[in-house]
Amino acid sequence: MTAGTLHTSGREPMLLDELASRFDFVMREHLVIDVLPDAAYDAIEQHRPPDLPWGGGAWQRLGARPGQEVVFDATARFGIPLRHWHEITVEGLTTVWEPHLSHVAMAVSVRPYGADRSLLSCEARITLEDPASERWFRVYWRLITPVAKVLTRGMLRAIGAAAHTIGPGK
Amino acid sequence: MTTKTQPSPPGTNLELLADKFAPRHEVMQTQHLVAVAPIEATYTALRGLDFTDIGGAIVDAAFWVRGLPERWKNRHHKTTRVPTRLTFDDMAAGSEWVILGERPGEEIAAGAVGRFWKPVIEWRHVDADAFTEFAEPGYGKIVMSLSVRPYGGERSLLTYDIRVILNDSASRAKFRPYWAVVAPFVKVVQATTLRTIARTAEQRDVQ
Repeated sequence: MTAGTLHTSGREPMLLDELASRFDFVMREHLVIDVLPDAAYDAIEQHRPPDLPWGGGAWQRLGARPGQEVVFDATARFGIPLRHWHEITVEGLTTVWEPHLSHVAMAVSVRPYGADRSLLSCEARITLEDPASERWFRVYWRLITPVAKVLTRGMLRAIGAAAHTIGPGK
Repeated sequence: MTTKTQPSPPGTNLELLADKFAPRHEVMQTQHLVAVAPIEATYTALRGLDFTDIGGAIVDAAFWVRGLPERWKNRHHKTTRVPTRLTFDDMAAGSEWVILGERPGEEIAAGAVGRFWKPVIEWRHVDADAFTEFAEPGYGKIVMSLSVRPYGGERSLLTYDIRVILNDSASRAKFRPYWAVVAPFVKVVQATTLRTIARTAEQRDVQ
């Protein structure tokens, strides 16, 4: 378990705000779990998000605010049947460009919910690097959002289940 | 009398009124929404929420259907009272609900006691002071908590937490099938409530 983690007021900017302040689409899901935040954070740290469907590729870990938030990135051409993605660093977020390329920055974060529960949040922000692809992506996003929400809720439940095995809660 | 705790810096007080008034519960259903407004503006919008403003096709239809048995029962009464405004303060002044407590700037909780699984709900007025101890068989307690916490530097995370406490196994047996039907509609009402609060907070924050 993460020792001595401080849970601050939560007013500090999120790492996601630093890494993806500009975005075109967003999706958020939340889940209350009967586990203390330290154990929940450890479960987030140990969790590997599932690969994105339909050619989206794999997630890269971009950074973390210990005890609170882990941010991942997937940079790819979404919606094409062939897998086409980039392994990217924080610097690459602003330098990599090619037609139809999109960044997805995803933060999985935890906040206390009462004295012995945690509130898990997952926020995915999509930034289109090529404005020409916006119209196509809007259609793709409308199609994929219900699936993405189901996958995200499944991921939060999996993190919650793992957290239960790590530490006690309510 | 309701509990009004001293304000603490938002996000640092870990005690929830929902936990205080419903530590053990039959069901707990939460909905969450991020508002693009600071916590102060969001709580102001939450505190001033007029529940009669919450609407939409599904919400209106759900309340209309739920009210059918009562309207049928009262069909010979020409005048039925329909509130034109219902804020938390109005609740305290005259409704089945009582304000259980408030953590100013963070959370407000209200409760009601009744047999809400019956076609015509039988409410039972229980004061806030007696709410926690009330455990008469045949009745259930609802605790609703609306809370807000910081979500990054400039946004807020709203939570609508509904919990139901039942005092005996017979009530539990009646409540479970009722909840299986109404839970999805309650979820829609919770989500619509949060959207109403967020919209108000975001508009005020822009002005």
